[in-house]
Amino acid sequence: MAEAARERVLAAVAEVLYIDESDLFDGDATDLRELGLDSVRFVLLMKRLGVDRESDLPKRFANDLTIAGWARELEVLGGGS
Amino acid sequence: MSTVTTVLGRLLAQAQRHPEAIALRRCDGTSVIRYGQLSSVVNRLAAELDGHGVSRGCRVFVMSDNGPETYVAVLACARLGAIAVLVDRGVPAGAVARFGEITSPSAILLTPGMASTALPSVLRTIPLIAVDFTGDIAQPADVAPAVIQPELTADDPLAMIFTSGTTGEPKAVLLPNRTFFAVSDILAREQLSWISWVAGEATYSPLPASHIGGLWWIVNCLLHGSECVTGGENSTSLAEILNANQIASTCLVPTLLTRLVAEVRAGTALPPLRMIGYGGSRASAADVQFVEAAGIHTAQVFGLSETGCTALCLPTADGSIARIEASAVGRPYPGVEVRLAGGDSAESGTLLIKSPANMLGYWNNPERTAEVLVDGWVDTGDIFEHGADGYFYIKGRSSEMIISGGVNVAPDEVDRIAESVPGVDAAACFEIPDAEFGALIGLAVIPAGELDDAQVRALKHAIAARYRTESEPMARPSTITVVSEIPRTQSGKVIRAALAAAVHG
Repeated sequence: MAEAARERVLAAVAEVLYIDESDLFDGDATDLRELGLDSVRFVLLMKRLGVDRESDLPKRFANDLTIAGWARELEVLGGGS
Repeated sequence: MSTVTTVLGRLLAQAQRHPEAIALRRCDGTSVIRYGQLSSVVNRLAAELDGHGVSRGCRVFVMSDNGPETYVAVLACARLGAIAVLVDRGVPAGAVARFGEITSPSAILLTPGMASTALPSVLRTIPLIAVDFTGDIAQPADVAPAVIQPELTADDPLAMIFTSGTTGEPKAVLLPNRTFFAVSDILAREQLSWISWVAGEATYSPLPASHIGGLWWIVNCLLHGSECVTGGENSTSLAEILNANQIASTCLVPTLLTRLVAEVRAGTALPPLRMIGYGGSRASAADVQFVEAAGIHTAQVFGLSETGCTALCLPTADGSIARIEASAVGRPYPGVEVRLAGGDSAESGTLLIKSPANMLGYWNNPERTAEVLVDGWVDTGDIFEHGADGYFYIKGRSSEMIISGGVNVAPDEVDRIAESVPGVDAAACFEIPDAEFGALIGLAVIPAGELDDAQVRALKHAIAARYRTESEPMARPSTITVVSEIPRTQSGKVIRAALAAAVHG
């Protein structure tokens, strides 16, 4: 389950930021801002991951801008489906 | 430097100096006319126009095929003080009819091979005159019927061309005689060789006569005694035309410069060029560097139809390639005034130009004239930065600015960054409407060669990486799409609305 959430986050991040997994210089703990995450791309990623923009979820995602952090949030949401 | 105040007066003075030299011909060797024959041919055509009641200030359609007959037709109008309205023969009939509504022509001059049936029906009641000087060209000038030569000044109108305009409504730019010699007079007076002409030297224009660049170049070359070669629109090889005709100078739009460089790189012999003038849209610094490395002087010219062609120039010089890479278009000619308005600082804003070559206005359109031409200043609508080196760096058109998240994004700057990435042949951005940010930036890219999926992915990643280091967040493309074609105007400007429709739907 955890792996599915991670894969989903990684695929979305790779597509929106135009990066490869090999660009994650600190693995899943890489701060995505270092790879070009900004307000535009954050919104695009929230949409792509199906995050409810009206909830407190975006704030939680913004608290930990890493693959690992977002995968954890997705798991909490419902198993990364 | 001549003190004669009209194009025709200067040209006939030039003709007397070298009457045997070829003035105009097509690149296939047809329609040859010598300087010594110009007066006769022009007078005869002027007499025909006069016979149809055409007089000073009348508008005359010149259905242009860009060949010698087109330029003779312009001069025949000048002989009467009439205004030559340049209309490309390839323009759809509906647009020609609209041009007619705007300018109310008194006569229509048809260049060889054009049937009157090709004209819109509403214009067929206007007197039609075929321009064909083959056969009886040898007649001396005094055989032609005499027509009264009006006294004209440099401010009297000579020609009218239509701007394509992004709004769709054509505007007829009224150009005075001075448009066609003001800049060359400046260069001569200041002893500058930014652009230079040599009497007797062959020059080639592939640009339409209905385009300010094409008309300005050929008229200037005629005034300097050049052998003006035109035509070849359907040729597949620009380099072959230049080689076969031993062309020493030419004026190109950047897409044609790219074509020339590609042909030479592919093995066609480098033409014996001395100088290339280019402009109309952003050029590839690599292309300019290639021809300069071959010893060819280049001059980027910047201006609009409204500024009477070039107002700024970037000639070959130390550091010029780096400046072109950074989107410089040059410096104003001495005596051409420029200023920036409405920007965030004194160093950035919309460029206004007060040039002795500026237009008189838009024909029959005082509202639009008042918007663009104020106290002699033309509002270019282009956003520039004035560099510390004195050069002006283009950032985009104010009307094309994409406002994303409240930030003004200059499209040309976005394009430039992508085109600096190795493997990118051409790139252009477009606006994607977005409910949250107002707009997002889309980017279309033409790769330099055939790529497989993995290579496409790698190229997109390289482009995105370049934006991360060079661009503010709102100007970074949210999507990058590989395309095979970017829609452009005849002069090479990106048609961003069409690009957005093609890529984004």
